[in-house]
Amino acid sequence: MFKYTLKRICSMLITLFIIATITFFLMHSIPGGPFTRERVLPPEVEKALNEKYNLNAPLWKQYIDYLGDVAQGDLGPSFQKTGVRVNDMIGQGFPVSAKVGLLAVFFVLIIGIPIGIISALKQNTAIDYVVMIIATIGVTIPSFVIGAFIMYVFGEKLGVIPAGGLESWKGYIGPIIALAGFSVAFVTRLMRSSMLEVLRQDYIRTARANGLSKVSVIGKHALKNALIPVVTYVGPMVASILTGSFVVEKIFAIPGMGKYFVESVSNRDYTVIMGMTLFYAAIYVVMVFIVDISYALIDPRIKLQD
Amino acid sequence: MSQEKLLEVRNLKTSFFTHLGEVQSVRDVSFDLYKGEVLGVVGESGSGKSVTCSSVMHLLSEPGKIKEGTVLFKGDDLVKKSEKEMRRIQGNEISMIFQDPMSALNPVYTIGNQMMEVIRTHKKINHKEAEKLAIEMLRLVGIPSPEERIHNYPHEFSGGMRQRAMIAMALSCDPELLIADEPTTALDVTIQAQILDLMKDIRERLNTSIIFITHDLGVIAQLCTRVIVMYGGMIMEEGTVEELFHSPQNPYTMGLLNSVPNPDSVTKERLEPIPGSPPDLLHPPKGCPFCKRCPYAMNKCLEELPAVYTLSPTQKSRCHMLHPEAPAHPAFQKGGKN
Repeated sequence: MFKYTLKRICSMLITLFIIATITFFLMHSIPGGPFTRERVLPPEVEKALNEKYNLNAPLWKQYIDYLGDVAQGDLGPSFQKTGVRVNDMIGQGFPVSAKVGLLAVFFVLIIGIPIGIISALKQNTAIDYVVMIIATIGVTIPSFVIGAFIMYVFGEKLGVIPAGGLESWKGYIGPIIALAGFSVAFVTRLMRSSMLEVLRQDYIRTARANGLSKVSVIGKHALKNALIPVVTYVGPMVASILTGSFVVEKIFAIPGMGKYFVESVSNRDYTVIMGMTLFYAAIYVVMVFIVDISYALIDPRIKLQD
Repeated sequence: MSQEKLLEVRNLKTSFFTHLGEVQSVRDVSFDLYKGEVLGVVGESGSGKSVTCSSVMHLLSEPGKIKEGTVLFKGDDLVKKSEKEMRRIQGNEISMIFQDPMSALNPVYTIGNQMMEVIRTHKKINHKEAEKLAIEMLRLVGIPSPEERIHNYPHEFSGGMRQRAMIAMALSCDPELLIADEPTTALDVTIQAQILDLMKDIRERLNTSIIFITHDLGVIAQLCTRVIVMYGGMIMEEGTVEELFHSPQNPYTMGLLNSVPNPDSVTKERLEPIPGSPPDLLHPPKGCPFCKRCPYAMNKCLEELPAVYTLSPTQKSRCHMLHPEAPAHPAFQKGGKN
């Protein structure tokens, strides 16, 4: 187990290195730079700025310098926001996004999994149909539509939630629904189909033939097997919800990480793009690692290869 | 073998209500099972063997339903029992083992965990005692070093071992009746022989009554005392092993016997398959279900369902050829009293 973890950490670092390399060169291959504006800067100013941010050096030198800094945990300064470092932007934005995100993930799991199970157990009944219709709608409606709708109806018309920000607990309601909407619907559908598949298995018949209680047949014998596909989806989902959504954060005026990400791309703010991408990738690979460990915990047939 | 009846199935009718219509899988089946006997149920796929037993155990999958009939187990009608009442019987008084041991055990729990759960569901004993009993049961079915194997997962057992574990689990609460639904079909031949030996051993040691479903007549000859031959959702013939093997009174039983190779034969004989295929139970035939494939079929067979003729205290057969006025046929040796 220890050896496996060590091996995985190495491979995660290699993955991050490859992502950093690809992002770095793709980013620089796009014409223009952080200081290209509609209103042309005086050449001396631009030169000075380029000098300051090490943009005059050959690309390979910039790349090596950047990797050196990253290896020391320094993601560099923002090119656009003077005096702000990328580390600080993540340090400020991520906790906010993560707080909303964790709550959203929590609701995805406590709503999606039980409702999926109930729907499977009541297959082809009114409950099942209603759940499946709502879930199908939930999967198809994008988060910005849900977000804008909630903001308009509950914020603007009814006035039950604040117009933005996270000052009171009510402020969390909108963003959580908008962030969790798709995933709740998706997890419900996934859980339902996985449960239906498992309930057809021979070992469920064995459990029933042995007179085990319904609670045990469903909650013990079926659930653990049915969770495997759900775990696969939940890992990457957590990574993407935790790092925030630009659209949702924009609609509800949340000072999270998603906002910086999109801004940095349109501003060609190289270090911020790199920093955000690497941070997101790091969370992602860690979540995938956690998913793999959970597989082994759930299913004894899966052996983690040392 | 005592004459005390353990199970009495009367006029059992089970159908599956599919979107195509009603599939009448079991059509009026009646039989008795006496204490301590091993009853074989033979027939080809789709003849209603498994559905009959699933009906007894309340294990019918959707959209299957018992339409009519009674299943008296020690005088109690199981058909009328609620799911909750059945749970006290399932795995405790009646146990079942299945065809494919590869998929019949839950892959994510250890053998011990699964066995102990069954034991503790039905017996008021603590974890330690349950573990002791599980180990004892595994030893009984011939699993070496059961103290260690109890902590294994099903995938760490071979097919034969898994079936042994299934049998151990089924027997752990001393059931009075064990229903074995083709327990050797999915195993290779040497393992089949071992499992059969184990079943024989259990029969002698524990005196459990067994219903053994199979389509292997060789297995029946080795293990059973009495046999039911099923076809098209009906019992075609019933009798002791001797009666059925030496004096079959139904063309279907004869056909089954003819399609088994005879290793003692000196001359080269061709196996005689039964031509055709079983009837469509969505639209069951009006007459005898076997008449389309029967070499002795008469016009009457198409029109009218044959009655059950009692040929001896133990042998019964459903065939028009047994009617006193039926024409004699040189190949059909009428046995019994009429």
